[in-house]
Amino acid sequence: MPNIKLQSSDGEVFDVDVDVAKQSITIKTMLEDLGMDEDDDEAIPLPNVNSAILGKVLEWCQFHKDDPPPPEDEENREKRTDDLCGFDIDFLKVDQGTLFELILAANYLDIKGLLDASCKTVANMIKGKTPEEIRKTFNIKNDFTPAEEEQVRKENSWCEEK
Amino acid sequence: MASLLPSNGVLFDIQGQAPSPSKDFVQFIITLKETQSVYLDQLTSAVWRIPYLGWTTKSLRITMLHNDQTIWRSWRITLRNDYKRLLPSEQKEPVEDFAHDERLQFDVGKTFGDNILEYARRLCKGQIDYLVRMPKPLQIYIASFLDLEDVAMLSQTCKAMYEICSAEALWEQIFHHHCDTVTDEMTSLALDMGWKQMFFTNKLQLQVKLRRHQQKRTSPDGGSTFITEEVASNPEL
Repeated sequence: MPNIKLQSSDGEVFDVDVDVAKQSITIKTMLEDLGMDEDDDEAIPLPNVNSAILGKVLEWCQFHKDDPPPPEDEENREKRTDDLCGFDIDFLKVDQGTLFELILAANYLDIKGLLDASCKTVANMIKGKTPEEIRKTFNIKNDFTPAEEEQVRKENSWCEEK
Repeated sequence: MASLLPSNGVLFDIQGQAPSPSKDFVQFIITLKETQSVYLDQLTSAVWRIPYLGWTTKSLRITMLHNDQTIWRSWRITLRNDYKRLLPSEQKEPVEDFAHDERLQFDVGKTFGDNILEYARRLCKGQIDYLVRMPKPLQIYIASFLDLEDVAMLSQTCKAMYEICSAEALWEQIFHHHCDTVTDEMTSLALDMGWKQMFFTNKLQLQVKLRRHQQKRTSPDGGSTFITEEVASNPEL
């Protein structure tokens, strides 16, 4: 398999299998548009991803390289969050800083599978919690005045009447 | 690196006036790394501003060499005329010390309230509010994986999340997900009234609204007169 070189924002060069890297639509498009040769020695610069995160992303791509491509129909996709595979669950057991950086990187590199898995992980951290518990989990600063808070609570009271 | 952390290293910066009877102006900053030069400029301008107002200022500086730190500045407001000795004060300490500094915690809580104090305590423990710092489209994308109840809970946490949870882009997805068929008329109506509003309109009302919207679009005079006639001739509407 031919390899390509990817360079992270902090200058580290990763030598990866083309098929692994092509899970990133951004990289795939770059290769196609630039018509890069496989024996081209120049590294593709990725100025938005640092080496720690790029390493993680490539680890994910390596594991998922034989996955079928994600379905196209955006509208009808199932919004389940309990369908993560065992590898993804363990892979995403990281500190919040890494998790959110992975979301940014997956979005920038356009890797749908990783973006969904990481966003679902965050969604799972929100699910079933009260507003105060969500604030604690993500250190969200409550900037409502007591009156505003009451107003917002009333607006959302539809979900309490069951 | 397009990072979630601000490039200038300032995680949190808040200014305010201490409650009566103190009236001191204070600024509380939590940084990730030393950004000394910026602060010196700010401090100088503050020193210039305050004597102009006839107030006095006081200085006390404790500098510690550390990357992540809290900075507490105060501009003392006093009626005494020994202001020449009262320069602005600045107190810096490593973020780890904030948890043990009861005096500083008391000052922060008294000036900015308990919510800010709680937020600052967690920030100093390294719990950074990444979720709130994410780009808006990605926040909406995350919210799109939530159940309705969870969207309601998330919207009650803070103003930014409230905005995300009311976003049209999110409710359009929720609407499509919960309703079997979304016709072109419904999409057109949603552009008028908003997806969230439409989601919470009950089916009977929605049918009436759809019919009116339809007539408004087809009749040349904007439909206002036509609707009244239509409703009058169909009392069960």
